[in-house]
Amino acid sequence: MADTLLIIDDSSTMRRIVKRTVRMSGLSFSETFEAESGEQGFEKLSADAIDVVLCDVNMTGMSGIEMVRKVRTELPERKDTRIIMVTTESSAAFVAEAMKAGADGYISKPFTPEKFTEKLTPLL
Amino acid sequence: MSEVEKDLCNPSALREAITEVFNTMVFMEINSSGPIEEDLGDQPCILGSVSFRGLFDGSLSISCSAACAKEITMNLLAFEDEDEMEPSDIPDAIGEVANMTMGTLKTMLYDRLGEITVSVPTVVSGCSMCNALRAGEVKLSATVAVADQYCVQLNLVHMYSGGKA
Ligand SMILES: [Mg+2]
Repeated sequence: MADTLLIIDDSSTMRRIVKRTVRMSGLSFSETFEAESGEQGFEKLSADAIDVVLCDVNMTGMSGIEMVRKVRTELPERKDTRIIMVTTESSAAFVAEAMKAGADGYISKPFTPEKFTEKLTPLL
Repeated sequence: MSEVEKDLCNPSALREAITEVFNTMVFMEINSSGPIEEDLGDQPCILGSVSFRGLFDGSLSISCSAACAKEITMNLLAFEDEDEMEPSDIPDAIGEVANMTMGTLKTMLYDRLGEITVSVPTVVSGCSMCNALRAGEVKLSATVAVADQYCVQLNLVHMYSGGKA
C-alpha cells in the first residue's frame, strides 16, 4: 500500500507548492494531509500513523525543529515516520541541528520536482 | 570595507538570488540587464520582507506592482484562472518569494556571514513606499525586469552588529 503524507507549513501557498511539486515528482501517496503549524502537525501525528512528513522550519509558534524533537521524544510509536525538513536553511549547522532533533533529511527551498524525487525515493 | 561588507554591498548577489528563485519556482524570466521601468500609475505596490539577525542585522524586501504580484502568484501557484485565487494568495506568495530569496542569499554568503536567523515574512501594500534608514544602516538596492514587462525592486538594509543578539 502506498504511503501517507503530511505537509506542515504555516503558509498555505507553500503547502500548495509542496503538494504540486510532489505530484510533479511522480511520487504517489495514498492520502495527503496538511497542517498549518507545528502544534497542529504534532496533533495529527499523535492521532494518526503517517508515513512521510514534509515539514517547514520557520513557522510562527512551534518551529519545525521543535516539532520534530517533540515527536521523537514524546511519540515513540511514530519512530518509523520519516520527517523531512523543507526549508530555506541549508547550512551545515542547521542540518546537524535538524538531524540531532530527529529529522531524516531536508530539502532546501527553492526546490525542483527532481530534488523531491532524489530526496524522497530512498525513504519510501 | 571588509570582504563581508563588499558581498553585502554587491547588487549582483541580490539579482543572482532572485533569479534562482524565479527560475526554479516561479517560472518567469528575469532579465537583470533589460528595460527596468514600469509605469505604475496609481496602482499600489506589494512589498514582502523578512528581517534577519547575525553578524549583520537587517531586512530584505521585495516590491513590485500589484499587477506583477498577481502574475507571480499565478505562476508560483500554477493557477490557470484568476478566479482560483484567494485574497490571501498574493501576500502569501510575495512573502514566500522574499523568504526564498533571503534563503538563497544566505546560502550564497554562508561562508562569510555564518549563521543568520531569518524571521517569518511580512507583507504590506501601498504607494511610493521606501525604506527610512535608521542611523548606521546601509541600503543596497537592485532592480530586475520580469517577463520583459514588470520590474521587481530588491532592497537589502543592513547594519553590522557583530553577531550580538
Ligand atoms: Mg514558514
